[in-house]
This record gives sequence, C-alpha cells and structure tokens, in this order.
Amino acid sequence: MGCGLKRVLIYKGDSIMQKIFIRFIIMMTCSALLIMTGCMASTKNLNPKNETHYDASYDFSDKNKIVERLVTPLLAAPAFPVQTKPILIVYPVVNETSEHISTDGITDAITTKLQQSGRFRFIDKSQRDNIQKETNYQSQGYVDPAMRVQQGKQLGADYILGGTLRSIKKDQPEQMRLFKKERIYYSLDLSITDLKTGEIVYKDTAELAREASKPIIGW
Amino acid sequence: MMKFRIILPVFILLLSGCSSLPLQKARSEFYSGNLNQADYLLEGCKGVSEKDLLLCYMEKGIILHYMEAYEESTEVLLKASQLIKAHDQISVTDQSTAVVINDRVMTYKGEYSERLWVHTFLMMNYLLQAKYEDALVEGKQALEVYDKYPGSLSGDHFTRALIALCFEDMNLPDDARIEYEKLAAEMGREKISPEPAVPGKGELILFIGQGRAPTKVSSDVALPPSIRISVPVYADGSPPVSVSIRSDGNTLDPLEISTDLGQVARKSLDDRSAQYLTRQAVRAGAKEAIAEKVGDKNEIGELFARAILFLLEEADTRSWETLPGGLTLVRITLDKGVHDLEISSGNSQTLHLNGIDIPEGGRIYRSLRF
Repeated sequence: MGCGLKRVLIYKGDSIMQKIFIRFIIMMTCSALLIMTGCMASTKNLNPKNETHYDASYDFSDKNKIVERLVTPLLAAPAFPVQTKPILIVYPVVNETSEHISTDGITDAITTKLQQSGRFRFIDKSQRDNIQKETNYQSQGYVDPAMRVQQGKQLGADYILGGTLRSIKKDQPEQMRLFKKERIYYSLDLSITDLKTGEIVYKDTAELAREASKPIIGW
Repeated sequence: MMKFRIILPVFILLLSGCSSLPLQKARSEFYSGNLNQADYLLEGCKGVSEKDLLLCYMEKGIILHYMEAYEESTEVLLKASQLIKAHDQISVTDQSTAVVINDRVMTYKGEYSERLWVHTFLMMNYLLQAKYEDALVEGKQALEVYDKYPGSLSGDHFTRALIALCFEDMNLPDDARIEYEKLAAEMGREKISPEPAVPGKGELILFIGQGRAPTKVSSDVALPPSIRISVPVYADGSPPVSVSIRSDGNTLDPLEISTDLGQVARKSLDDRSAQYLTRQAVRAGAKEAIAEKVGDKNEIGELFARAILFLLEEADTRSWETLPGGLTLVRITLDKGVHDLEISSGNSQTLHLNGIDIPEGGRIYRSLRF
C-alpha cells in the first residue's frame, strides 16, 4: 500500500517536471526563432544629402548642414572682394563637445567648398614637412638643376581660418516616465583672422538643436 | 521520467552559470604578472558570455593600459563606453529571468563607479598619447556620470583632478578652476591649485595605481521556510598609501590627489541597494509561489522545488577586478631637461623612471602600477 502511494507520488512529480520541462523548451525555441529572425543582416545605400538621424547626437547630416550654413554667407561677405583672392591657412576646428567628433571632416568640407568657389587660395599646412623633405632632396644633387624647385618661394598666408565646435547637452530630469528625452545644442563658430593685424575680420556661427527620446523599457 | 528531474535543474543552473571562464583566467594571469597571456585570453572576448561582455572590455582595457598599449586600450574601453550607453534601458527579458532565477543571469551593466572609471582610464589613455581634445571629450562624459550619481561618486577625487587637468591641457583655465573648486569642497580643503607654469620648468604627471580593488562577495541570510536572501557586498580592499618620490637624489614633495576605489565602489553599491533588494523581495515571493504551486500537487515535488530555488539564489558578485585599489595623481614640477626618478609606495617595491625628458612649459605623462 505504502509502496503504491510512493509510486503514485513519484509519477505525479515526474509528470509536473515533464510539463515544466516541455513548456521551458517551447519557450526557449520561440525565443531562439525570434532572435534569429531579428538578426538577419541587410545592407542598403543612403543618399548622403538626405537627412538621417538615429539619435540626438552629431552625425554626417549635421556636418553637411553646418558647412552649407557657414560657407554660403562667407562667399558673399564684403570683407573679401571677388578680385582679391586672399590666401588662407586653415587651423583644424577644435572639438569642445562631449562626443568624439572628427572635426577634421568639417575643416576639410569648408576648405573644399571655399577652394572650389575660386574666391580663396589655400596653403596646405599638413604638407609642410613633406614639402621640406622633397625640396631638400632636390637640392642634394639628384635632380636636374634646371628642374629644381627654388626654395623661398612659398606663399605667405593673409588670413587664418579656424573654428570651435561646442555642445550643450541636457537630459530630462529623473521622474516617472516611459521615455527618456535628451536635448543637444551644437554651435560651430567660424572665424577668419588677419595675420598682419590680428584682427578678426569675419565671424559667423552655425547652430542646430535636436531632441530625441528613447523608451526606458526595452526587450 | 527521472531524467526530467535532473535535466531541468541542471539546465537552469547552467543558465544562471558562473562567470565566464576566460575572464577568471585572464584576471589570474594579470595578477601573476603575465599581461600578454591575460590579453591573449581575452582576444575578441571569445568564450565570454554576452552578458559579461562589458566586463571583458573593461578588464581587457586595463590589461592593455598596463601593457602601455594605450591606443588598443582606448579602442576596447570605447566599446565598453558604448555598451554602457546601449544598456541604459530596463530589459524586460533580463528582469523577468532574474525574478525566477537570480541577478547573475542579467546583463552586466557596471556599477555607477565602474561606469565613471571607464572614462577615467580613457582620459588617462588619451593624455598618455597627447590627444588632449579627446581626453577632454572623455572628461566631459565623466562629468555627466558625476552629475547623474553625485552621492555615489563624490569620493572619487582622482577623476575630478584628471578632468581639471584635461581642461588645463586645452587651455580652458576657467573650467579647470571650477573643477578644482569642486574638488576642494569634496576633499574638505580650502583651495587646491596646482603650481603655475614657471620659465625653465615643466611638469611630470604620474598616474599611480596601487594594490587591487576589492571584489564582491555574497552575504547570505536564510529565512524559513526556504527563503534565501543573497546580496553582494565588497570585501576589504587596499586603500592607497602615500608615495615617496625622489628625483636625481632629492626627495620631492609634489601635489598628490588620491582615490580609494574600494570606498567609492562600496558607496556606489549601497546607493544601488534599493534596486537589488526590491528585485530580491519580488523573487522571494515568486519562488515561494512556485514552490506552493508545486506543493499543491505533490509534496515531494515541493521539497525538491524548494531545494532547487534555494540553491539558485545567488548574489551577483561580478565586478571589474583588474582595477587598482587606489589611484593617485601626482604633479611634479621639474627643471627642463632629462631626469631619473624613483617612486616608492608603502612597503612595496620601488619603481624607476629613467631618462624622463621634461620640456619647458610642457607636460609629460606616465602611468605606473604597484
């Protein structure tokens, strides 16, 4: 009798464990399928001129917008008459934001647009060491004297072009909410300084502000 | 039928799993002085559970830092920083699994203090590579973490001093002054002001790590009928001791700013206690309900279920273990030119820095670990 009861109890225990195990396996299989469908890779081309933002932080759309906003008025600025073609030396835009932003991209884009306008001439500061190496090599006797680049003929800059990128970030205060909001304000100050006098002859600022929100709860 | 009784609990126990094995091995190699082997073990974080990925990045970041591979360390720590931001969400899957198993099955998001120290080590890496702009970016991100958890992190003087230094390097003296004022208030001093630049002199900045940060251990309480409360606590660590520095035979008295990482980590864990205690209470209730439900149908099953659920209760003792116990920032003003230095910490060995070339009006950075 006692042995029979024990067998029934063991049987019932096994049956519960079996049910739990089967449910567990079904749950794990469904989760695995869900994960697998979510992980399918995809690739597509994007038009760099279209605005695309995934969050509030700085991205390539912002770069294009800021550069366009700064270059257009500069080309029409009365400080630089069309016939003068001033010579600029470019110092990299300083990043004072709280993000790792490649400001060299901004500097290059501004330089490219100004150079393509034909209104300004540029000195390539980044090639100075290479120019020196090359001219030194030419003067060591390997190059035909008639073809040697004469030293001391480099252009001198009239103006320094520089800028600073800054940001102010504000998170929504902690409180009962389902979404977390974030606001970021960016400003890029561009300035052109006369090398002879030290006077800032041109200054402009491009600004942009954005708000993004993301759910506090996710899968 | 017997197999179901064995397979299910074993499966769940495996799910709750112990910390990823490569992490433990790498830590052990690191503290044995085999830094290359420690780095190799964490190559690509292979074999490390997805839930421990942040720990892998943080441990590897420190290993590479003390191998003087600052660029590689930066790369890995930036991944850690991105992961922390990506985890800034309450995961339904994590929470629901943790309610029936334990907190160890959750994705490791890093203690508040650890989230700050990712930026601290990134700042150091950038300064050591003379990338001052990037160092300041990390400084500003560190300030955001300070602002988010002010109570937990106010004891981290080292990071605050480092942020001030980043502002100084970018020639932003007003911002540096604000940080020094905050630092003085936090340290209970009237004023902290580094020596101004003097003609013919330069500065050597040392980041000195001492000992090892305390690890988390489990503190357990058992309550009837089968409730087990298991919470993480930090064991005793090694606070930083004063360092003695000699240059060219002379004992120096430089500005030193230290942080006891164990103390900050403990405060940080205490401030998060409401979170894990709430989860613990919900879990105790859920486990009790499961055991009773099983007991309605089978008494032996209930006993068995209670035993498993009791065993499953385990504190989440994961932490960033390669961190030093203390960090000290030392600012030494020296004449321009080449210097040999001896640095001693407490009773431990003396480290030698030979041939340090100090530029006039410039700063040289070095990171050391006792």
